[in-house]
Amino acid sequence: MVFSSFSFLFIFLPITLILYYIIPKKYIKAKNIVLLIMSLLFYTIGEVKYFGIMILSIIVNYLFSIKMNDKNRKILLIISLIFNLGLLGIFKYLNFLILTLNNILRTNITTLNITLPIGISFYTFQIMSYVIDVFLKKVKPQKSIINVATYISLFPQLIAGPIVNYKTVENELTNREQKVEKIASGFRRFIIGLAKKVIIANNVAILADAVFNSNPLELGAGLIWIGAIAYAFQIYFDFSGYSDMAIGLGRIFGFNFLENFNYPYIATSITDFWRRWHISLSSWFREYVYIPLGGNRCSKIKWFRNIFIVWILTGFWHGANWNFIIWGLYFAVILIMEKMFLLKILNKIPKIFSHIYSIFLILIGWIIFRVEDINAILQLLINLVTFKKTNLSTFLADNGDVLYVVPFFILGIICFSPLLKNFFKYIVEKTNTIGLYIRDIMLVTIFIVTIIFLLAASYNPFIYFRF
Amino acid sequence: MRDKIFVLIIFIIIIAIPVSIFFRKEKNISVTENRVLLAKQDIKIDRYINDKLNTYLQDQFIFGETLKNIYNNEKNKIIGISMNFIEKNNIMKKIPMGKGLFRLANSDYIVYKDAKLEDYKNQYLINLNSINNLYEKHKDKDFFVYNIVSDDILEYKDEYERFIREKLDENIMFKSSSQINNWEDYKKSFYKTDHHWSKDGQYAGYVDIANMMEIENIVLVSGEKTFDKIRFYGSKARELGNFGDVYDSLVVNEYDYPDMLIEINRKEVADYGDARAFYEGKIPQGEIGENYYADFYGTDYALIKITVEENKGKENILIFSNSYSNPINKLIASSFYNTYIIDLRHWETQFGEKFDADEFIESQNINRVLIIGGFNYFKHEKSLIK
Repeated sequence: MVFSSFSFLFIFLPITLILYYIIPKKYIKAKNIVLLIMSLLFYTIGEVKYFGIMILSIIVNYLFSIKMNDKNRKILLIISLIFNLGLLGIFKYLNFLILTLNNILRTNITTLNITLPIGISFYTFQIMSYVIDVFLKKVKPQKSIINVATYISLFPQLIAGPIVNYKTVENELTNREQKVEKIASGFRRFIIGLAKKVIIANNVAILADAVFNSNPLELGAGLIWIGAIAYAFQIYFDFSGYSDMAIGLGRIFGFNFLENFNYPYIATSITDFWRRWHISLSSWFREYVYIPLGGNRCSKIKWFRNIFIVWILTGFWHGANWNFIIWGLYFAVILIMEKMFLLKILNKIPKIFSHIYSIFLILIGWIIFRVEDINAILQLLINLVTFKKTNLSTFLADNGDVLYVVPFFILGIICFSPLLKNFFKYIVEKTNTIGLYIRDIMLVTIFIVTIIFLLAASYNPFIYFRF
Repeated sequence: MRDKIFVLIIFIIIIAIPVSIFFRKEKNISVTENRVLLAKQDIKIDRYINDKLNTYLQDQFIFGETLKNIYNNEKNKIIGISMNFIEKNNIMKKIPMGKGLFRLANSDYIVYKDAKLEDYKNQYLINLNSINNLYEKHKDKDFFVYNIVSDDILEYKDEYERFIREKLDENIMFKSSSQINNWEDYKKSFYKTDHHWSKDGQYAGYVDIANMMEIENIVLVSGEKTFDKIRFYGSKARELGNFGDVYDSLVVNEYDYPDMLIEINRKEVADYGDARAFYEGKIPQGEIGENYYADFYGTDYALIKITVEENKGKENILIFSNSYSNPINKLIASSFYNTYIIDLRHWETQFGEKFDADEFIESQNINRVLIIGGFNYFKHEKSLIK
């Protein structure tokens, strides 16, 4: 089940809200039970066969953390990490490993017939952050299995993040605010996220898919750049939209998740970009990999090693394929160069050039990320470097739908920066209450329009006539 | 207070919509989408429940069809703006509208993408060989193949014609649409929004076929009728969800047919097609998305048999075709005793068995075999005659 679906918006969400809010606010345990049941139902509806994996993860990690004492904490941590990473490894990376071995060693090992459980990358990292924090005594182990289970399975962030540290919600698991202002704020955030995903992301995806599903030999440089920008918009509005919905839903139920995006495309360097993009993931890697390895408080060689390790893992986290590893390495190299000398240069030049520099590198990164075939990536990069001409007529003849994307592309350009948000903020400040009412009217309108877009996406004529 | 009102409005929306859907009378069919809509009884608790709930809510959404039409119209307007730009700057002859459909530059005609022969040679060859194989076993019968030239192959008409003629047995008579040689001819013979022949194209096609088969006494047009209130949004408009200002009128030729006994799927019927209901004003007009072509001329069936008693003693003909022949079935039948029109796509579903061409030809005393088809017929595996 996804947030941008009718079954979520009109069945799951209203039922969950009713069940949650009919319980008086003092019965927080009962509320947690409701959230837990509904979260497990949310997961099961999408992933019946992997429900057991989720339950096993919850029970095992609860036991590991509750049983930790000064004598056994290290061993329990190691076992817990092996268990969690083992699960992730089997479901996400085993087939990749088999295929790689087959390619290198010319073996013929059969891959396993397993599908990736939805959200496993997110909730595994979330679980590990809890166990590690208990080990490091940053948090006390949660005695209530209900609370642990609620934290791990909470549906707003279960399948696509943000990765929520236990510390962030520790107090809220036992003591949450239930104010109308917060619920309203949550709905506002949710609507904005839903609109970003359904109206912008889903439509610019048409253009991105049209470009990157075409034969790379036939794509001209101009079209590749357009496709890269379209994909940059698609992935940003999709992912940040989903994060907005998660944060909004969290707020509705009394949880305050941290921000996951901060207008990444206005970054003035790649270093800056990674402080603005998928913040929860980069924070996780910084806290649990980079800093324990020594961070930058070590020799230069070890520092570079740490950066490479973190970025290989970051790439690998995104997908079990070589292009993701290359993508991670690509950023590792740029980040090292920035730390060594580039940042100093970027700080001195006019901001417009550092924006252009950042966007250029980010777009190249998205090409590597989007196109999984290494040969295709190389071909696209060659086409860019050689300024290969674009045959627009042929492209449009095969991809007429893209003509529809133009206004959403423009909307993406308007919305990728904080300009629009700041503009509305300014209007609200100037007009006080009237501005706030106008804002709410606009949000309700946007919500209704988004519902119509979702409805229209189901237009599915049966055309038997083609024959 | 403002926050309370806001939360209340959102809550009302997310409650009112499912309540309105669950408690109102369900719609069974979407006219514009030409499909059966999901009903409550179709939803079971299984691994597909989420998808089914989604589909159910979308299918039964209050004013859903209207909202989808509005959305599609606005979407097509947006595409139209881009198309106008392309047209003004002469970038392309066929301007993309999406879903593999194009607008012919400087016209309202919706057309398909050009289909290069080299991309479809194999499929064509398989089909043509099936015709050759059938002829091999029935050399005492006269075989005819009529190739309908439409928007997808018009640019390559000569190539297709040469290829088909080359690959067909030399004893099989072959003809290709003689009246379609350029886009102006196309516009005269086809609907703007549908893939079928318009009335002039239908009659010209019939005359072509009749001449190929050396039929004497070709049926003549006795009149013409325009159904003023009908806006026919054809197959292409329906695929795009384009129910705006571009549509076709329903203008039909009138003929004096001989008396005919008609059977559809081995059951006797009053008529093929519902022309009478149109003349009597019984067909609801102004229905957006209604397939008036099929309503008037008749739809596709596995087997249609037309017997003209006054032609007893004349030949029997077997026609393999698709919906293109629907308006001219009775015209062709006027010159034969028994006319059998078979749409192979529906045979097995209808009769629960594979079609046996040899058995049919022998048992029904077929004298002539006619295959009528265009690009989608000859490239499709379901056209294979076995």
